[in-house]
Amino acid sequence: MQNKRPVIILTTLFLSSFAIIGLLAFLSRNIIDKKNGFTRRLLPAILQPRNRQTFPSTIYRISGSRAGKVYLQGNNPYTVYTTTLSLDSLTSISLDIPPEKRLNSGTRHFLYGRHLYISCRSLPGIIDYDLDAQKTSNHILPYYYTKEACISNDQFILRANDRKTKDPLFVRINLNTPTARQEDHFSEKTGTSIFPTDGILYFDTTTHLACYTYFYQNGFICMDSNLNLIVKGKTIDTITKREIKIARVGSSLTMKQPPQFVNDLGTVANGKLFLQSMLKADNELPLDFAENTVIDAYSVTNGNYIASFYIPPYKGNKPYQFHIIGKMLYAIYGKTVVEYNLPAI
Amino acid sequence: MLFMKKIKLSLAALTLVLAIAGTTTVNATKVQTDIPSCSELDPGTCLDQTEPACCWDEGLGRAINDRAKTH
Repeated sequence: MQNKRPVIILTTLFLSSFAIIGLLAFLSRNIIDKKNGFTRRLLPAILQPRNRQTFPSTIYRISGSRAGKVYLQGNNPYTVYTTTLSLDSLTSISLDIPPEKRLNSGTRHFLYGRHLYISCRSLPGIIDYDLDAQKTSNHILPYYYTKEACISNDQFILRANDRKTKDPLFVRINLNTPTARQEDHFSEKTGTSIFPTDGILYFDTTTHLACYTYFYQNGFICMDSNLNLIVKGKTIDTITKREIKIARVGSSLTMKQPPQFVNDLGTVANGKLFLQSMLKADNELPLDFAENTVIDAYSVTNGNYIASFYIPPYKGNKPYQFHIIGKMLYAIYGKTVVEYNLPAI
Repeated sequence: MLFMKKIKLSLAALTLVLAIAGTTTVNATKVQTDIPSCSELDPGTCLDQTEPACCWDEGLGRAINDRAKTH
């Protein structure tokens, strides 16, 4: 009888381990496998990495490309990295810009021809750095802005605020006349803060449309360079609007609780908007959605949904940003950038 | 001697159970921590260079994305 006791104990422990695993699997399935009431047209092709390059510092974004080179912004605002379109080289360019404390946060690089525009939201202003002549010209703006898109030489569309109501709106500016601004006529004056309609602003050089996607609500909008609303598209999810509760902390406003995202990262290229959805479709496997980054593609000219595909993880991590240049997709995973063939859409 | 053997076996089995259960729990919770967040409750995640606005300074009329203020 005494010889049987360890066997009984072991059997009990093994059975309990399976019971625990089963229970956890059941619970996690209940959490993840939530029906969101929509389906995706998932492309069967799986993105295969073609090339990769690891940079000395974390890469925040791809600023643009010219003459077969890709320009990337790292965590130092005074440095630009360049590589070839196939990511097989690495060059570091030090920008000859006078040090400015406010450049250390909220900067975005935009490449337009030989101009590298350094948008500094906390300045507020945009520095025009001529890559060929290595000269800078500062353009200080008389108001703050939260988003920006370079639409042509010295021309930007910004998401700023209405002077009276403080509601967010889009403005077009010329850096050479920074005090003048053209405002849009479609942004609603609701008296709410910037949080509910927060999102990302892009510019598509193919269609010359600027698009804006929302983090916490369905849909996206596209406008021409004169700020006329061209498209009011719907994303495939069925979320109309997430409620964003605002908290006041001193003279600052923030969100009361971590917000639930509907859409997150995106990019526009070749007349299409590629948008990362944070919601699982009903026809997706929970594990596929959890491990990959799902991208929904839309037409920016008519707002129609085209198809979806996955950006795979790299070393278990999801991309921080992604960009499309030509027929290639570049995904940024910290210090590493991976190049994929963009699936035919 | 036999008692010690039993103890060792039981401990080994218990470690195995805990290891399996722990790994499963980590995997089960992993997929839920994917969404970046920033709010009064979690100001530490209000990171620079992320696109979502994190904190709005009414006095300056500008978004501050490096960290939500807690003054």
